[in-house]
Amino acid sequence: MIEVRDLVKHYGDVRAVDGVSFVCPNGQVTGLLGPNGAGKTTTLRMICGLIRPMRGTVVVDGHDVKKDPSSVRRSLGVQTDSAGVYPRLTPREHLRYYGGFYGLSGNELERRIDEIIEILGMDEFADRRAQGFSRGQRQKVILGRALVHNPNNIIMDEPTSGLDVMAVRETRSMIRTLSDKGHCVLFTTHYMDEAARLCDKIAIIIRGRIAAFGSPQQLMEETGRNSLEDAFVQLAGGEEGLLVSGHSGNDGSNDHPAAASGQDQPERESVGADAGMGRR
Amino acid sequence: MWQDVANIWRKEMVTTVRDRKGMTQAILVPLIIAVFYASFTPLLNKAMFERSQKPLVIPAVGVEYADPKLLDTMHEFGITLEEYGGDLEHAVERGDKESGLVFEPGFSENLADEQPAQVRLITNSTAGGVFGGAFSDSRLRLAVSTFNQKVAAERVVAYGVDPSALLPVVLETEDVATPEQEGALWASFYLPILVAVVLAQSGLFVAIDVTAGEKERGTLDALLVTPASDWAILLGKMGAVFVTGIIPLFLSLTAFWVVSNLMPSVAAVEQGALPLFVLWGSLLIGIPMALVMSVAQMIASVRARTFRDAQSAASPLVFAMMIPGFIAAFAPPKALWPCFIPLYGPFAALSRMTQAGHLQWDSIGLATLGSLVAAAVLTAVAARLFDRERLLYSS
Ligand SMILES: Nc1ncnc2c1ncn2[C@@H]1O[C@H](COP(=O)(O)OP(=O)(O)OP(=O)(O)O)[C@@H](O)[C@H]1O
Ligand SMILES: [Mg+2]
Repeated sequence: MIEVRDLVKHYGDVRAVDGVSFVCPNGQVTGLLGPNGAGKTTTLRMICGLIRPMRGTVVVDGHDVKKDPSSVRRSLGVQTDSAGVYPRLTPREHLRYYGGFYGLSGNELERRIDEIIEILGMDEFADRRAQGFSRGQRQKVILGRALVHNPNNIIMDEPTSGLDVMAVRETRSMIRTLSDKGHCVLFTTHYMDEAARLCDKIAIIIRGRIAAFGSPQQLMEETGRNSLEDAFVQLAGGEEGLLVSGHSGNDGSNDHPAAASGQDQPERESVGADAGMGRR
Repeated sequence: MWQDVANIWRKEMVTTVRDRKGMTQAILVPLIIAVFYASFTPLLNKAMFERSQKPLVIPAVGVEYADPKLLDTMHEFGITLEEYGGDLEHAVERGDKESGLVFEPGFSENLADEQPAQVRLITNSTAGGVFGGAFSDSRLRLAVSTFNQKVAAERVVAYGVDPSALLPVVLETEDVATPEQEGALWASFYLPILVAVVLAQSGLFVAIDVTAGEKERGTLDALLVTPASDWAILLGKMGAVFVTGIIPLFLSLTAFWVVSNLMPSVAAVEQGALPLFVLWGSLLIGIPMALVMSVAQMIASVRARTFRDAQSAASPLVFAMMIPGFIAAFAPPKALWPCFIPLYGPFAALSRMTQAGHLQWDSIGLATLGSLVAAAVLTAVAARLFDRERLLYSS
C-alpha cells in the first residue's frame, strides 16, 4: 500500500507538485493522470525517495520514505520513464544485476529470472546483448527489472507509451494480473481508454494539484460527462483545449491513441489539447 | 552494503571488458607509450655509438702539406682526408660538405721547426640538422690533441726532460655508480612521465561510462530506485574505475621493463640492465596514486550529463598528473618529506629510488600515506556530490 500525504515540491517558481495526497491500496490499480508537466513523474520520484519532498509524507507498506528510504525502495518495483538499458548486458544479466540489490542470489534468483522471462515472453532475446533492442524489447527488460524481486508495490511511469498493439495488451493484462494477485499498482498514462479499463481509482493531477480522485465512473458522474476523456478535458482546462485538439466530446469511448486522429499531430501548447493524445 | 558494492563493481567490470573499442584503446595506448619510452634512449644511444664508430672522410685542401704522422694519427681515429678540388669554404657554407680542413703550405716545415703549425677547420654548425650529420667535431679534436701530446712528449724527451713534466695535474675519475643505479638512470627520467601519462588517461573512460554514461543511456533512474545506498553505488563504481586504471599501469610498466632489458644488448652500448626493483617500485607507488586518480575522475565526471561534458571536465586532471610527473623527472628530489605531497610524492619516491638503486620503504610508505589521505579527502567530496537527488538533477 502506498500512502501519499500533502506532497510538495517546487522548482523555483514552478510548483511541480503542490500538495498531493492519495492512497493506493493493495489489490487495486491506481492511475495517475494529468497533462504534460502536471507533476506525475515528480510525484512518483518522491514516492521512490529519489527526490526529497519539501513537505508531506510518503508511506509504503508502513515505511516512511524520509526515515527509511531503503526499506521503501525494497518494497517497491519501479519502472522509470526513461527506457534505457545497458547495451552490453543481456536481459538475463540485467535481471541478475537488479535482483542482486534485493538480496536475491543463487538458484532462487535464477528461478525467478526464468519465471520473469517466461511471463514477459522474453525467451527469444533473453540471452542476447541489449545493443539495438527495439523499444518494446527494452520495455520488457525494464518491466522485468521492476518485477524481479516480486515487490508488493509496483510503480510504472507511462508503461505502454511507444509500444505496439500486442505489447500494449500484454502490459495491460500484466497490470491487471498483478493487482488481482493482491499487488498495489500505481501507474501514469496519457491514454484515457487504458485508464478507464484498468484503473480501480484515478487521481487526476493538474498543475501539481489533485483535481479529482475516484473510480472512472465517479469521475464521469462528477463532471456530468459520458466518457473519461471528456471528464479529464473538463478538469484539465475545459472546452477551449478540447476544441483545439480536434476531438469533439460526442461518444469518445474509442479513444486509444492509435485510433485517435490526433496522434501524429505536433504537440500543442494548450494543456487540454494534449489530453488523450499520445506522448510528446 | 558490501554485497551491493560487489554487485555494482562486477557489472561495471563486465560491461567495461565487453567494450571492445574502449578496452583496446585503454590497453594499447599505454603499451605503445611504454615501448616507445623504453626503446627511445637505447636506440638513440645506439645511433650515436654507431656514428662514432663509422669511418669519417673529411674533404681537405692542401693535404700534400700535411705531416704524414698527423695523418697516421687521424687514421687511428678512423679519419681519412680526401683532397678537395674546388672552393671548400663555399661548399661547406652551401651544405654540400659538412666540414673541411685547409692545410697551408709550410705546415710540415713549421712542425719540424717547432713552430705553431696551423690547420683550418671549416664547419657549418647547422649542417646535418638538430642531431648533427656524419661529421664528428670531437673525434677530430681528440685526434689532434693526441697527436699534440705525442709530439710534445717526443720533443721534451729530446731535451732530456721527463715527459711527465708536461702533466702537472692528473685527474683520476672513479665512477662508483652501482650497476643498479646505472641501469635505473634512464628509468628515473622516463618512468615518472610514463606513470603520469598512463594514469591520467587509463581509468577515465570507465569513470565517464559509469557516471555520465548512465545518464546518457537513461539507466540512472533504474539504479537509483534500488535499495543500494549512495555509498555502495559510489564505491562499486569507483572500484571498477580503480581496477581498470591499474591494469594498464601494470601492463605498461611490465612492457617498459621487458623492452628496456631487450634493448641494451641490441645497442651494444654500455648501459646496465633495468633492475627489477624499478618495476616493483613504480607499481607500489602507482597503485595508491591510481586510487587518487580514480576518485578524481569520478568527481570530474559525476555531474556531467554527457560523455563530452565529462571529457572536458576531466581534462585538467591530465595536467594535474603530468606536471608533477615532469617536475620529478627533470628535478629529482633529494629529501624524503616531498614524498608525502599528494600527486607529486609518488613521483618523488620513484625518483629517489631510481637514484638510490634500490627500493626504499620509507619513500614508498610516505608516498602511499599521502595518496591515501588525498584519496580519503576526495572520496568525501565525491560522496557529497554523489547524492541521489543531485545526480538526478544533473541528468
Ligand atoms: N529538475 C527539474 N528542474 C526544474 N523543473 C523541473 C524539474 N523536474 C521537473 N520540473 C518541472 O516540474 C513540472 C512537473 O514535471 P513532471 O516531470 O513531474 O511532469 P509529468 O506530469 O511527469 O509530465 P509528462 O506527462 O510530460 O511526463 C514541470 O513543469 C517540469 O518542467
Ligand atoms: Mg512524466
